[in-house]
Order: sequence, then structure tokens, then C-alpha cells
Amino acid sequence: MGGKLLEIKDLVVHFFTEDGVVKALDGVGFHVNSEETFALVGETGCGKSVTMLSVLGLIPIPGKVINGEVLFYDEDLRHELGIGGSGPVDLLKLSPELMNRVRGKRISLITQDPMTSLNPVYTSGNQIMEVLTTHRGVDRRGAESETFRLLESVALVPPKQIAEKYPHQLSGGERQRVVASISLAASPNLIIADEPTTNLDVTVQARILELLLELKERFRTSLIMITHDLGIVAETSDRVGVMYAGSVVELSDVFALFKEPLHPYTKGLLEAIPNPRKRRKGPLKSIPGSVPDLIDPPEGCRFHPRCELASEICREDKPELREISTGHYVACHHV
Amino acid sequence: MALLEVSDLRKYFVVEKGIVRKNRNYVKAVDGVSFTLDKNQTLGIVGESGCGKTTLGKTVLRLLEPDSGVITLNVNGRSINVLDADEEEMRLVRKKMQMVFQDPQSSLNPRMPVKSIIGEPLKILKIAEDPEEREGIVLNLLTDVGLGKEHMERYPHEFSSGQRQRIGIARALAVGPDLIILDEPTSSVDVSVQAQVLNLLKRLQETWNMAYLFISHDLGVVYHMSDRIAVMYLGKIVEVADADRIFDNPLHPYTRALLSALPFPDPEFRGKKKRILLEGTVPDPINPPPGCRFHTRCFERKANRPCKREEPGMREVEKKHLVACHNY
Amino acid sequence: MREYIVKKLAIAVIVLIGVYTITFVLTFMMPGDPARVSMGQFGNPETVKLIRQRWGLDRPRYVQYIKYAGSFLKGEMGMSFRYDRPVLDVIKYRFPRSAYLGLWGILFSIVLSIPLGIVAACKQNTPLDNAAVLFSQIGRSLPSFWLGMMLIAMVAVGLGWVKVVPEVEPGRLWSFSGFFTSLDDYILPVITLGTGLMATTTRMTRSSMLEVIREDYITLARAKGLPERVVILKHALRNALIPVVTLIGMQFLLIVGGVIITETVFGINGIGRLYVTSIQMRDYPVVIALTLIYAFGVVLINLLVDLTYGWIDPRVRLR
Repeated sequence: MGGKLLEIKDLVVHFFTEDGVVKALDGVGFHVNSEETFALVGETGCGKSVTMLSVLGLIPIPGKVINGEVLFYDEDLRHELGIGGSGPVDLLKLSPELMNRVRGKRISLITQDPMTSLNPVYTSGNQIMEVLTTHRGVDRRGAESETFRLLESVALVPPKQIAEKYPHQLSGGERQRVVASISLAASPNLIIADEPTTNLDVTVQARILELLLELKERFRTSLIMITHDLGIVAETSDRVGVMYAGSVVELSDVFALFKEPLHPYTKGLLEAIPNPRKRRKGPLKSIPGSVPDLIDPPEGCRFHPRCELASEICREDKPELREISTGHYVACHHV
Repeated sequence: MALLEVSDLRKYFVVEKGIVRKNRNYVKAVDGVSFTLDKNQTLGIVGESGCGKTTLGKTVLRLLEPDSGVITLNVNGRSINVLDADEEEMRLVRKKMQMVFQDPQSSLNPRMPVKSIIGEPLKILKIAEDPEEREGIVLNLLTDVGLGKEHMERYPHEFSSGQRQRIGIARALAVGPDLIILDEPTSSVDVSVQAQVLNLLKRLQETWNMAYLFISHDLGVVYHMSDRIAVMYLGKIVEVADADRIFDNPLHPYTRALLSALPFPDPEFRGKKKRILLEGTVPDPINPPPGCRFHTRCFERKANRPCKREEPGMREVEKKHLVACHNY
Repeated sequence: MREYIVKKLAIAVIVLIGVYTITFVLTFMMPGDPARVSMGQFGNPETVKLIRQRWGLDRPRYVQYIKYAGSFLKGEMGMSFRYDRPVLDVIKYRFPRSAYLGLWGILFSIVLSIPLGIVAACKQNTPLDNAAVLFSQIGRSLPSFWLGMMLIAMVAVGLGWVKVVPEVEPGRLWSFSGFFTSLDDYILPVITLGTGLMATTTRMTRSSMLEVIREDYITLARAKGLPERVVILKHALRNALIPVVTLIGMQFLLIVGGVIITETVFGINGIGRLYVTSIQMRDYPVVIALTLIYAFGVVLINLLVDLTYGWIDPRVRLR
């Protein structure tokens, strides 16, 4: 594991909808080290996917980055893009053309639903090959043999037959392998996997997760795993960021997080999942209420309406992330 | 006497292929399923997509007409053969057996206020024909599921998915059932809300004395809710046992693979358990493999056993622990 | 594939027999006697009787039914009452003009509307998009006879840029060079006919593109770092075209009404006008022939649309 690869600082993203301004991200900040697996965990609407789309510069209309930096630490990148200066590159400041040379090449994406993330009208081979011809400047024949090699590396054999198939001729697990091979095609430094197994069965999920971790080791990339499943977090990640309503509320090493969760939301989440190993069948701990409306989010700490510890200060003042022990940060007034 | 007894239930769907000459094929969604469910008990049905668990639920309720089999429901000491029931008996069956659907978004009529959604079964099944009486019952039900008077006149789209699922539960409760079939009741809600719904279901089961047929793909949730668990694979039940037995001592290779694949929310366990990774994909239910349906992916197939030829029957291997596998 | 086409054509034969029968029955149920209509209100009853004999109208209906069917099979489609010539000749003279007008109307619409729809979708909610939407609204609500007359008044008469009535020989229209050069003459009718079509197609292309752009595979295509041009033209367009193809297929069928109006406004002697006058004059053989041609066109275009689907979308490709 190396130094910082990606750092997000105080990212604020708003969506200007007809119903009002959705304050989707409210000062998100964390970093990812090279060659580590970082899990970003949270429930629907917490902003985990929006965060990653901002990193890729792909926030859909009517979303806008209001504030913040997305820093990419790589000495070669400035040179490769032909921009002067030194230090990390702020991806948010790159022109669309330059960003196209980062996307897919340095940072790639594995989308959520394998059923919808491949274009139905092109063969899987075609969809892998275009990454190679775009970023690696190889000719058709070179791209073809490289495509076969990639398909083999995600255990899709025989590669030639798989490459000729259209997405609807592949199973969910096979499609997700094709998507994985697309993400690897240009040997990126960072792969973002957005709920990569949510729509897959458990047994298929187990194989895809195994594959992703293995590929991450083999290709020496970093992996950001976006998920709502704490089980997946526990089994795959090195470090974890817990998101709630547009902010990171806890940031920690995975072992510390599960052993000693600090934020009331994290604690609530961990106790809300049924855990067969603990042989406990009593009532689960549930977090009252539901996720707030981000057009009109609660003042102060956004979790306070659902929090049992909430006091005056929580209603007024938004807590910042503070380091409680080495590498373990939490945003709560009561820790 | 068991509350519900299902034996050798089958439901095939016809699919036609070919343009000129039509080939009739059958998807054997539920292919000879038998189980019993006692009063106030929960039987969990677990399996992966396409194993037939949802079809099973709908067939038991006769929302889908089964092709063959026997379903016996015990209503106040009287056994009703659900598949042969006359109109009067069927009305009784509908009162005693209800269903909560997977997706509360699409199972609640968007043009009806909550009051009518919950009140409708009361009206149709002639439980409360007086509108005022009905309103009183609906209000009680809403309070029971954690909603209130202010929600009576609202429409489904004004609720969060967790609240909508509560409305679905209240509707099922309205007729005072002995059994509710819950089809993936929490798959469309978030973890923190899921806990609320599961707790609610447990509380209601105790106060209303109901049995549940709890269908889900989520092993953790099924374990939490169930007294007994049945594991389905490709239209058949392959193993049934008490929930703890399934987790402590799974016998069928498929059950073992399923359990080992379950991500476990504690990083300390990482790498400490042996993970069984199944090869291949679930076979086409139109042409299930001969013999044991799992043999194409089985990691424990033994040469001296007739897995490829003979379909294993359910055998009671331990007390109340049944498994369909030639290895036992 | 071949099996599929053969089957479609077999169905076509049945459809055509059905259409022939229904048209035959309906035509003869129309009030008014062709012979009398052709002689005018004060025609001599003796002459009318002679004409009826000559046209075979005095024979029993079933004989007429079979006789017509026979003449269709021979390919001459009977004799026109009004022109006293084989129907085929009557149609052969007019058909090229109408087909030319119809085809160019649709081509004009496709060539302009699809790019416009794409651009509007990509620049959603910008002035450009708003303009396209506005244009589409106006185009759909302009009656084509009014648009045609305005074009004649302003462009042909006012500015004198083109002739009011196209004069190109039907034979030239479908020669290789004539197909393009004759457009000089036909430009106003083509615009008149094409504007309404174009408005609908633009709208459809735009909304279909907007839907496709939100798909996950477009996000993934962008995440691959593909240039926006490739994302739109390679990944989005082909998927977005699926409903547009259905629409264009339907336009080929619905265009008949537009052709009739346009031909009337511009005084083009095509089959649209022939159809109307033949019904007015009770020229049954022509009416039946044109209806059958139309029915055949419907079958053919449906087949083409199906084949196009297969080409665009591998999921419906036939094995």
C-alpha cells in the first residue's frame, strides 16, 4: 500500500431541480491510498454514487459542483496531459477533452446493474475494444488479441466466443465480468465499483467480489467499492467511509470501524442487520424515521432528527470530521 | 394439525418458441414442492432468483393456478382443500391467507387513498360493510403498523418505501389472517428501515397469532425471521430444517455453498472461513438436468452415486432435518 | 430469415384477398350508379343502360367479383370507367409523381429531423433545444394545405423562385439524375408534405434520445473516456432509433392523406387526386386497384420495418 492516490476535499454538489435545490453533497472529504480497497458505504440517497460521479466528471444534468477539489496524485499525469506545474492534479479543473483522457485510462468505472450497463446493440468484444483503441492507440488486430487476453483474465472462456456475443446472450455474472474487463482495459490506477453486485445472486456475488479483489492485486490498482452492504465492506475493504445525507460521518480502518464504531449512525447500521452468526433473534436495533429530504435538510448535524444523542449543539452546528484515534475520524459532537 | 400442508405442488409456465412451427416448452417454476407449516410458526423459503420461490408463494394463495398438487388449509379445525374449494370456502381461504408483495410501489393502487386500500378487502370479503365501522378498523390497523390518522386520506406516492410496505402489511392484516405470505417484504427498503419492518412483523406475529411464509433471497433476514427454513433450487426444495440447524449443520451442497457465499459483517472473519465458489450458472429451467438438478454444479459429486441419473428424494436425515441428496 | 419473409408474404396474399373482397363489397354499396354519374344528371336512360352493359354492371355481383379478380391476376387491373383505358395505364402515368413526392417528403423529414432531434436532446433546456421544440410544435399544428398555399404565394408567386406547378415528366423523376434535379420543381410540395412529418420525427428522436442518454450503458461509455461524439453517435443513437423507425414506418402509411392534399394544392396530377376523383366519379376499378396497391404497400413496409429492427437491435434478430 502506498501514499495518497485520490483526495476529495470539501466537495459540495447541488442538483437544481424544478422542486428546488437538492443539496446532495455537503462537504465530502476523504482520501484513497494507492493499491488499497476503500469502501464507501451508506443507504440510498446518501450521496455515495454522486461523489464518485463527480470524481469522474459525470454528474448528470441538473447537477453542479459548487465547491471542492478532487486531487489525483500521480507524477506522470501532468506530463501525460501536457499541463505544466507540479503537485496533484485537480480533476474538477480539467477541460472536458483532458478529462476524457483520464476517464477510462486512469480511473474506470464498474456500474451497478450488469443487466443495463452494457449497450444491447453491440457485442461484448466491441465494447471492450473501443477502450483499447481510444486509450492505448492500438490497431484493430492488436485490440482484438488484447480483448481476448482481458476476457481470459476475468475467466470468460473461450474468449473469442464471448467477444462475439451480445449482452442479452450472457448471464448477469458474465456481463459483470465483461464490465470488469472493460474497467481494466487501459490499466487504470483506480477502479470505482458502484454497487457491483447489488443485482446479482449471493453465489454469483461471491465470485464477482473474489474476482475484483484478485484483479485489484494482480493489476496493482486501487479500488473504491461503493455499497450499502456492510457484509461486503467487511469482506473486501481496507478502509471505510460511512456516508449519511451528503457527508462522510465516519472514516476509519475497517477493523476499527466494526470493532468500535463511533458515530451513532454507524452503530445503528451495524446493529440493524440480522446476523446469523450471533444467534440473536430478538428485535433488531432500528434507526427511527427515514432519510431526510435533501431539498430541505435538517440544520446542524443532518442526522440529529434520528439520533438518540441529539442535543442543542447538534441542531445548530454541523460537526466536522475529527481524528479520535490514528486514522479513525468521526463527525459527531458527542464522541 | 398443521395450519398449511402443501404436497407435490407443481406450476409450469408454457413458453413458445419458433416462428412457424411452435415448440411448446415448459418452465418448471415449481416442480413438486411439499412442506407443512404450523400455527404461529414462520417457514422461511430461501433461494436465488429463478428458483421458483415467488411462484411458490403465489401458487399457494392460488393467485396462480397450480398444475397439480394438494394444498390443505386448516381453518378453525376444518380442513379446506384450497384447490377444490367452492366459492364460500375460497372466501374463507382469502380471509385466512393473505400476501404482502415485494414491491409496495406497484402493489398499491396509486389512485386509491390509504383508507380505501386497506378497507377494500374488508368490503369485498364482507367483514365490515358499514363505512364507519370500516374506517374504525382501518384506523386501528394503521396504528398497529406505526402509522396514524393523518395518513388515512393520503395516496401511496406520498409515502416512503418503508411506509408503503407498512400499508401493504396493514392491508394483509385487515381480514384477520392466520397466515401471511411475505414475498421479499424488505428487498426494496434500506437497511435501517428494513430493521423497522422486520421488528414490526415479529411484533405483529405475536399479537395477532399468525404464521408466516417468509420468502427471501437474503439468508440473514430469513434466519432472523424463521423457525424453519426451506432452501429451494431450480423449482425444488433441497433441504428443510430448523433455522439454527441450517446454519450450524447445512447438509445439502447447495445450502453449504449459499451459506459460505453470504458476506459476513465482521472483518475479523475475513479469510477464516472456507468459501465454496460454485461453478457455472443455474441451468435453464426449461431443460433441468436429469437426476439431481444440482449435479452440474455440485462440488461433492461422488462417482459411486447415481446423481446424474436418479433424482434424490427428500429423506429425514436427522430429526426434523430433511435433505434431498444422494450423499445422505 | 427466409422462412420469416416467406411467411410474411403468405400472410400478405391472404390480406390482399381480404382487402379486395371488402373493398369490392363496400364500393358497390356506395350510393350512386357509375353509368349515371358519368352521363350527368340528365343523361338519356337508354344510353345509361348501354353503358352499364358495356362496363359489365348488369351482370350478377359474383360474376363481377370473379371477373375483376381475374383481370387483377392478369396484371391489367380491369378497365377504368372514366378513362376507358386499362387501370394499369391510368395508374402508371400518375404513380411516379406521387411516389416521388411521398418519398422525398419522408427523406426531407428524416434528413433534417434526426440530426435536429439529436442536437436538441444533447443540449437539453438550452435555447437551441427550446427552438427545436417550438419548431416541432408549430410544424405539427400548421395545416399542410395552408402551408402549401403560403409557400406558393410567397416563394413561387411573390419571389418567383420556383414554378407553382411542377412540370417534370413522370418518366424523368425516377432516372438517376432526375431524382435529384427534379427536386427544383418539387421543392415546395416536398416541404409542404415533409414539415408535418419532420415535426413529429424531431420530437420522437429528441425524447427517445433523452431516454437513452440516461441509461447506464451511456454512463459507462462516458466513463470509458470516449469522446462525446462517439458516445452519442455510436452508443446512444442506434438505441434511440428503434422507436423512430416504427414512427417512420407508420409515416409511410399515413402519408397518403398528406399526398392527396399536397397534390390538390399544387395541381400535381398524381394518384392522390386520382383516388379522390375516382371515388367521386364511381370509377370502381380504379378505386379497388388503388386500395389494393395501398394494402400491398402496408405489408411491404411492415416487412421492411421488421427487417430494420433486426438490423438495429440484435435482440430481435431472427435466428
